[in-house]
Amino acid sequence: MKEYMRVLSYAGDNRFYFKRAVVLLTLSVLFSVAPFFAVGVVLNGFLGGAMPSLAWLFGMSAVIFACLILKNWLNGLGLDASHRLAYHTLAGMRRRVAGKLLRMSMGDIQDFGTGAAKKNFVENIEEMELILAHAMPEGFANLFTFGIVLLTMFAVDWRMALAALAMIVVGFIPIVLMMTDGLKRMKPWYAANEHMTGAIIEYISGMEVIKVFGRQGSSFKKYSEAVTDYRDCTLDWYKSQFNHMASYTILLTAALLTMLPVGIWLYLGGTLTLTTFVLSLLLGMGIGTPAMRIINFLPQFPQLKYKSARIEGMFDIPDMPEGAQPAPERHDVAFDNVTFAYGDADVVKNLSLTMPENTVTALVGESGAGKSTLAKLVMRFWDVREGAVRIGGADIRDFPADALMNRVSYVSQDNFLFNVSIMENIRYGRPGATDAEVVEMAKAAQCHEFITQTEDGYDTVVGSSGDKLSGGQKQRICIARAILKNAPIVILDEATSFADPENEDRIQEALSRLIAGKTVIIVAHRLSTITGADNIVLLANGTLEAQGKHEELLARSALYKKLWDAHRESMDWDIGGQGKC
Amino acid sequence: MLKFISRLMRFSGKDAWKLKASAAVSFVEGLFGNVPIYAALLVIIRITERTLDGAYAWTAFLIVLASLAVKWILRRVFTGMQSDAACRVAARERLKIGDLFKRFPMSYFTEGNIGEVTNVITGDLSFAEDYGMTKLDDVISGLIAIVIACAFLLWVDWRVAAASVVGCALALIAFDAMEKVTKRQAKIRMEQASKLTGAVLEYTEGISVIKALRMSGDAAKRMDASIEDACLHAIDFESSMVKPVTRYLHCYAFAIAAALFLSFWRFFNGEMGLPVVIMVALFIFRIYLPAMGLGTGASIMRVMEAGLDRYEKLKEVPIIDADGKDIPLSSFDIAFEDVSFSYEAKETLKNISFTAKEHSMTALVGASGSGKTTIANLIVRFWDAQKGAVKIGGIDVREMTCDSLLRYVSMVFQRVYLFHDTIENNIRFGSPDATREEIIAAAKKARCHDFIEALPDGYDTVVGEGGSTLSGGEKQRISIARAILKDAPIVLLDEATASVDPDNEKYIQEAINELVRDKTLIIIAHRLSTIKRADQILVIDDGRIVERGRHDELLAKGGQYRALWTRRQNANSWRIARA
Repeated sequence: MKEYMRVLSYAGDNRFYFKRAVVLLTLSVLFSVAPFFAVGVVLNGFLGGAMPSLAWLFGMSAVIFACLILKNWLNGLGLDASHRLAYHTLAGMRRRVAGKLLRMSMGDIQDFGTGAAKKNFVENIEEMELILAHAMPEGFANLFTFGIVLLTMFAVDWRMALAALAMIVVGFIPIVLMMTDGLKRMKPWYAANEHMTGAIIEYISGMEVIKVFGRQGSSFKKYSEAVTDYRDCTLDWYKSQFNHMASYTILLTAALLTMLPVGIWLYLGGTLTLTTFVLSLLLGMGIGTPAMRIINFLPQFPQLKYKSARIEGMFDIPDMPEGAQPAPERHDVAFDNVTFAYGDADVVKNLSLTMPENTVTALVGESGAGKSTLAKLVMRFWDVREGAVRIGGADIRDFPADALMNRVSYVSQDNFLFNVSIMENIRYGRPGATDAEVVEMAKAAQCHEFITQTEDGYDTVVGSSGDKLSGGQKQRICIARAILKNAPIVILDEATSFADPENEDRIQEALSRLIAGKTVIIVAHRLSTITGADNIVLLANGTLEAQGKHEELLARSALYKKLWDAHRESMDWDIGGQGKC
Repeated sequence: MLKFISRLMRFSGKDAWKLKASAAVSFVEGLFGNVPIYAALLVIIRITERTLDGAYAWTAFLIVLASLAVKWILRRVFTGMQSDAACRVAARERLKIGDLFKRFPMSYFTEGNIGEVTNVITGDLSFAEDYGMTKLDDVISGLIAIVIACAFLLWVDWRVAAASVVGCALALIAFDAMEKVTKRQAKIRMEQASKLTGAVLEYTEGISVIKALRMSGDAAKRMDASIEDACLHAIDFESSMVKPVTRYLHCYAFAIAAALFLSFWRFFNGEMGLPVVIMVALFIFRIYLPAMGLGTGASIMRVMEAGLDRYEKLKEVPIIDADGKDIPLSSFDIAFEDVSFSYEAKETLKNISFTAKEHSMTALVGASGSGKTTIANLIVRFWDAQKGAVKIGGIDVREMTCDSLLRYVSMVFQRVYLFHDTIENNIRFGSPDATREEIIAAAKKARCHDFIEALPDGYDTVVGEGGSTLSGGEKQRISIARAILKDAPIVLLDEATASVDPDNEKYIQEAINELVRDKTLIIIAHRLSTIKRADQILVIDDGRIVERGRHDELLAKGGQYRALWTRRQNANSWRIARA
């Protein structure tokens, strides 16, 4: 219940729909019971001395009709309200996820995974619709109805009410049995289900490889085993439940089993009139349905808890703190005794480094040395554990994140474009820029030519995540955007790799234009591109192994020499050149 | 609705009889559900006739008890049959489509399709399994309830029955209208949902760019608008459903009230006994309940139908090698004879002719989008040429099944897929009967033995879903080990362009050299330095071969290849520096 209220709080101002839905749905149920009383009144009339008039009978029938119409109408309104509640709640949750993503650090988002974030946004939240719109309001309505009808029965005749209640109590026995048994079987069933889903995904995703290696037979066997396992497991589970299910479905609606004999004895005893007898029977037969619905309603609470916890797990990730001090004037970058751990393992250890304004610093090292992490720390993908990253002498955590973003451009291989025109995509770099300025930057980034060759030129809409353009073209548009942004610090994170080897020279020209007159930090795999850097920083296991100019490092550092040789070899590699290996 | 039932029956194939039988049993169970009320009627008749005695309490009890016992058995039987059928049909269809996948063209399994296909098999089929089949029972009992109600009332009094018939007829008309609304709205609803997904995708994937470009406010506003839009449309959808459903239910309200009034009237005229009036009263409120349930069932049917549509569309994917034969090859030279190929109305290859001799190396060079990847894809029948022929050892590849063709080809592409299994089994995938020694030998050749040994479980290390516990370079090398183990006479190689550290890159190159030794090699080359030793280089431009020859010859010629080479050399010597 606590969980439910918390989930509902996402509906904000629309929370009133909850009360409205429950009231309307309960009223609707009351109107479905009212005709029984009308029938009772008519029967009383028939059994009394004088035959009622035809007009009166018609009137009573009209009352019954009106009650049923009201019932349907209120039910519709109630469901409408409960859906409004549900969708406003879902929208509230989505807004919360959207807002959370903006406040999380980029590193946390990366760790959480955009796939998981997307799943949270759409599927996980959508899944709650059924619970919120139907199970919950209808559940409450049924709970109230059950109570109201039962009370009415006690008011009509308490002995008949007890007889009816007895069957409900008996009906709960198989439910309890089923639930205890079901809990035991749930785990293996979920396991079989997960196993099957995994097998299906692997079979389909791996189909290319499966075909290439002609392993359809054995792979299909694995797949089919998972499918049949799941089938057998499900059937097993079903079989264990069927007896209980049949039992409670029948017992909960079997009030007549006790009500008839009890009614007969009471009638013969002279303490029950025929009308009360019939009315009790009508009410007694109507009590089973809400009882059954309550059974289906109760398991929704753990479901809701599970599903909302899955979504809210994301909210527990702390927001990225932002400082309020004014941003610095200078743009030199310094690592001041920085230690950073990713999980438990230190990725950067006690590292100090200065990158003066308007210089090019290259970060190199073997895979896993921590060079990319270092670059990302400047962008506050994560915050350092100890020490500080400073720009112009100020700790980057002390001024607002927007101010930091204003000062840094980050170019990687991940070239994201929005699904708007190319013109707008570039303009995002500096929202006030004129069309002429955008075109100028596109020329500088070597993309003017291919843009004008597309059908709609600068008005070409990029398509979802830029499918219409090649990797190299997207990269150049991103560089144009960065040139327009004109931030004093530029980070190139593996941006010089072969995104589009056939057009690499163009990308290189674009990058040259981007870094002109900036403080540049470059993470490079191809060492030949950074031999001209003002300072090359060689990292090993998260510590500073050596730094200096290319020639100095070649002379001084064995590790640098080894990397350089490996790079030279791979650049000269030609297929079939046996001598080289 | 009837169409839906017959479709479901067709879908259920040899298990359809279980569904039919369970519907029949469910009908009988429904009849037995009326026995307790009939017992109540007997009691009431005795009350009005003043013949009721205490012993009859036991009789009534036993009648009801017996009916419940029969009902329990019937219910147990039909729910059992129904779930059994649902389970088996879903499993059978999963196996059927899984079998079919093996024959789908390779080109089908692109990234976009993979997600969609997986959704159909896990999501849509499961929905049919979990809800569809059990809803079928509701649909059938709903329809049958209408018939029972009319028949019962006809037995009581034809006038009362006439009221019921009118009410039910109106209900069926209302139901039809309701279905039309669902159909129209479901489409709008689906479009809205995909719109939201699109907005969410852009937002989550672009979140770091949004932050970097200080677009937080703007993007948040747009995202909020999309969320709001989706919310309002969903509410609209539900609201639009309320009216037709309510109208449908009103028809039964009319049937109930009319039947009661007519019974009262008949009693008033002395033409009907009180017990019958009471019986009508007891029955009438319950008898339409299953039919009323059809209102909510309609939308579930719609969801299931959409799922079945998607599923059945999968089955229509043309099978590429339907008429191929299993032909053993003895020689492995590859020949393109005047091949043209169009993809979605765009001609990507135009009159390509060349021969790659056995054990020779042929390099394909050209700008991105020039058609070099398509040439490689035609060799392995990802697609088939529309004009001309691709021949291996003199045999047109279109005469062969993909299976028999692929036996002779190893492919090393950028996209690496490892199975959620041990490293040993992942390598063994190349040759199922390989011994552990052979696997280790292949791993050594592919330069992965050392890092595998360094793992805590060595060759028994289980790689994560899609091989995520290893670095990109390591996964690449394992996939090469797999290909080395397969030892196919033809190798298609898309020269790795992914960014890896220099130490990794060197190992991958060494591994590739092991793989291509003494093979017929077709390489899609990006870095021209790799193909200096190629026996022939084909320069592709706009779907045509514009130059061909050896490296030195082409350089001397001073044409496109030379221009490309110069550009590459410049790019390779590029150094980041102050402008």
